[in-house]
Amino acid sequence: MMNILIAEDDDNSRQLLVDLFQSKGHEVVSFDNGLKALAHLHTHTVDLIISDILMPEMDGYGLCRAVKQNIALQNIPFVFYTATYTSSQDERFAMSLGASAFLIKPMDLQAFLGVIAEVTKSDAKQHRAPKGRGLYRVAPVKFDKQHTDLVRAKLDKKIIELNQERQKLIESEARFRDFAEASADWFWESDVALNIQALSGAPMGLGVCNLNDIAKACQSHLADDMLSVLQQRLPFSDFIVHFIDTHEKHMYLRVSGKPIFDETLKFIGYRGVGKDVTEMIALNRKVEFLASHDELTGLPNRSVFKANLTTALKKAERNLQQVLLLYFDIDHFKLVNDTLGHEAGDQLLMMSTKRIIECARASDVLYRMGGDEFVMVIESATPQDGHRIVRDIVKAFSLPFDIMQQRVYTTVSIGVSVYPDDATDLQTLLTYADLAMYRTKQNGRNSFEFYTPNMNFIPKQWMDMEHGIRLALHKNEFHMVYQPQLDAERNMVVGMEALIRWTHPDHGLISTVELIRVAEQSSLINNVDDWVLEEVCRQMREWLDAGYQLPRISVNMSARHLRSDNLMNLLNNIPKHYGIDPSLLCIEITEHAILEESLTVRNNMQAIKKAGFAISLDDFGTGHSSLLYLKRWAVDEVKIERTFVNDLVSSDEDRAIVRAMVALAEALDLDLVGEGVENQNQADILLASGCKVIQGYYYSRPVPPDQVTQWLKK
Amino acid sequence: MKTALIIEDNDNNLELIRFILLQAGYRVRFAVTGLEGVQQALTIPPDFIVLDIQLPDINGLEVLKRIRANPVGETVPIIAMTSYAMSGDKERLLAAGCTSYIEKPIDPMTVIAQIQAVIGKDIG
Repeated sequence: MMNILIAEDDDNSRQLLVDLFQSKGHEVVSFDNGLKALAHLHTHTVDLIISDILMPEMDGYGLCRAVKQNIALQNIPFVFYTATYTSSQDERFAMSLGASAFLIKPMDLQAFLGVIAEVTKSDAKQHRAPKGRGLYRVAPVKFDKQHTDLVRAKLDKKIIELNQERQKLIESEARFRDFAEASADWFWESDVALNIQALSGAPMGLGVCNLNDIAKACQSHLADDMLSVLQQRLPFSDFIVHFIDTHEKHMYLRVSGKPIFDETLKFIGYRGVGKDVTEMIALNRKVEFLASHDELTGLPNRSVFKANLTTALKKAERNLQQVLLLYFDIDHFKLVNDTLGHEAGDQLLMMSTKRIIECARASDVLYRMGGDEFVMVIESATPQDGHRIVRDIVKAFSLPFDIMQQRVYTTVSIGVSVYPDDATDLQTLLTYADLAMYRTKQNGRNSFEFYTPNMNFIPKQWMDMEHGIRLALHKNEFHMVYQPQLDAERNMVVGMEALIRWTHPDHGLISTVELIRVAEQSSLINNVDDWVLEEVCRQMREWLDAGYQLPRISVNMSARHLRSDNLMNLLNNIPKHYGIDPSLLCIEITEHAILEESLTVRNNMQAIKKAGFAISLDDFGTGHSSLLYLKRWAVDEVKIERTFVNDLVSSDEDRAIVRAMVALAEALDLDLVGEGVENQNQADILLASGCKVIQGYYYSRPVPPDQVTQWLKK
Repeated sequence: MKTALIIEDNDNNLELIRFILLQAGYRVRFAVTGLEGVQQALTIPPDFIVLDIQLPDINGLEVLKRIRANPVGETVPIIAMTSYAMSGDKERLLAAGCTSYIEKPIDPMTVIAQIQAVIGKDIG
C-alpha cells in the first residue's frame, strides 16, 4: 500500500487514476493544480507523485522542480502522465528535472501499472533515471475496453449535458430577444450622471439627452415623481414622455428602465428600453375626442355638456354670477334634410355652428345635443349680454346659406334660461331653456324667448307626465271621486260614475284629460285602469260592510285596455276578491274603443257581458258608431255626449238628435244617461225629451267617497 | 340648372307636370300641401313655382300671399294652375302676386312654352 498523490486538472482523468489506484488498495489524494499538491506534500507523507503537465496555477514541471529541489521531498518518485507534451524535447526536459518516468496518455492500463510498480520498487535514493530515451517509455497502446467505455460514457454524458444546456441558452436568448423586439423599439443605457449613451434604433437626438430631461417631459406621471424615481435609483416602467427629435418632430416615447450596479453595488447607470408610441397616443386621443365630441361639427356633445355645466354652476354659485343656457333649434332643418339630402343637412349644421360661434365670445361653449339641437353655456354674463348674443345669432341667420349650389334660407329658434333666477339645477335649466325654445317656435320661429314661469304648464302636464304617473301609482297620489246619476222623475240616485283624480304633491290637481291622454300613449293606462278598478271595488266593499245599498257604479275602461289579453283576468279576479257582484259594476267604454273590430276586442266584449257586467257606451254619437254596434255588443246603456247637452238650449238640431237618441234607446231597450248637465234648462229639456237620468254639475259635482253616503240607503 | 317647385296634391297631375319639366331639363322638387309648399319655397327657394290652386290645407291664393309676403319669395315666378277658369279667379290670383296662369287640363305639348314665356327659355 502506498500513499499516492495525483495532480491532474481534468476531472475525468483524475477520477480515473484515483479509481484505478484505490482499486489496487492504495491511499490516493488528488489535486487539480500543482500548488495545492505541493502544499499537501509539505504536511503529508507521500510515496509516489503522478502529475499532468498542463495545469493552472503551477504546472507539472513547476511541481516536479519544487519537489526535487526540496531535500525532504526529492526522493519521492515523480511520474509525468500527459497527453499534451509528447515530444522528445518535453520528455528530456522532464527527466532533467528528476522525474522517474514520462508517460503519454492514453496508455494500456497494465503497462501503466507495470511502469509505476517498477518506479516505486527501485530505491529512490539510488535510482537515477537511466539516460537515453525509451527505457520507461511505453508506446501508446489501447486502453482496456472497459475503461475506454467508461471514459467514453462519461464524456458522452457530459457532451449531451453541455449540448442540452447550450440549446437551452440558445432558446432562452431567442426568447428574450423576441420579447425585447416585441416590447420595445430600441434599447438605451445611461451613465452614472444619467446621460443617455449607448443606443440602438432610438429617435434622432435622444443620444444627447439626459434622463432628467426625459423625466421633465413625462406625460403619464407627474414629472416630479419620475425625477424622484431616478434620484432614488429605482426601476421604472412605461413612463410616457413627450420628445422632440432633431427634426423638430413631436413624438411620444414609452420608456422603462432599471438601475445597474457594479460588483461593489455602486450605481453605474440605467439600462432600459423605449418605444415610439406617438401613434397610439394620437389614437387614444382620437377615441377620447370622438366619445366626447360630435364628429360632424367637432362640438362637444351632451355628456361633456353635463359635466361642464355642472362645473360652471358650481363656479357661478361661488362667484355669485349668472349662467345663461341657450337652447337652439334650426328651423326647417328637417325640410332641408328631406329635400336636399343628408349631406346638405350636415352642411347646414356645420355652417350654422360656425355662424352661432362667431356671434359668441370665446368663452361661450356650444354643444351639439343631437339632431339640429344645440345648447350654449354663457358664463359670467348678464341677461343683457345674453340678449345681445341671441339677437346677434338670430340676425346671423338672416343671410341665406349656400348649400350644394342651392340657396337655403333658414332661421333659428332660441330659448334661454338663466341660473340662478329660473332654476339652480342642470336638468331644470335645460328643460326651461327647451320650453322657451318651444315657445319661440310656437310664436313663429326666427327669434328667441327667455323662460318665464307661465311657460311652466308644459312640464307639469306634459314633459314629465309619464314619469309622474308611474310615481303617482307608486306613491298612491291618485284618488277616486264619484258623480251621481239621478233619475229626475223619481228623484233618486240610480248610478254613479267613478272618476280618477290626481293631486300632485307639488303641482296640485292635475288635469284628468291630460293624465288619460298621456297614459293612453303607453301601456301605463292599463296600470291606471287596474288601480281604479281595485280602488272602486275596495270602496264598494267598505260601503257594503257599513250596511249601505249600492247603485250600479260605472268604471271607465280605456280602448287600449280593451285590446289587452289580460283584461278579463282583471275583471274576473278583482271584484271576486272584494266579493262584489259584477252586476253592480258597469264598464264604461268610448265608442272609439269598439270601432276596431279585432278578435281580442270582440272576445273581451263578449266576456264582459258573460261575466255579468253592464256595458255603457260613452260619447255616443261623436264617432262613427252605428246602431249595428249597439246591437252587436249588447250594450246596456248609452250616454248622451256633453257637447249635445251643451247646446240643447240654443240648437234645434241638437234637440232633434237627443229626441232621436231617446227613441232609439226606447226601441232597443237601452238605459240612457245625459252627461254634463249644468243647468236647469238643460235638465228640463232632457226630461221633456224623455231622457230621465241625468249626470252633471247641475245635480252634483263628483264628490269624495265620504260625501257619497248621503245618497245611499242603509 | 333651374329648379322648379311643384305644389300639387293630386298624384296624377303632379306626376305629369313633373315628367314634363324633367324632360325639358329642369331640376324638380315638389310639395303636396300648401304649408309644405310655402315652407319649401321660402327655405330652399326654387327658380320658379308651379302652383295648383286647389290644395287640401290652405288654398293656392293663401300660398301665394304667404310666399309674396316674405322677402325671399317676393320675386320668384309663380305659375298657377287651376281648372275653374273664371275670370274673377284669374284676377284675384294675379292681384295676389301670381306671375302667370295655366288652365287645367294642361296640354303637355304647350305647357313648357307657356312656362318659358314667363321664366325665359334659358334652362340654366
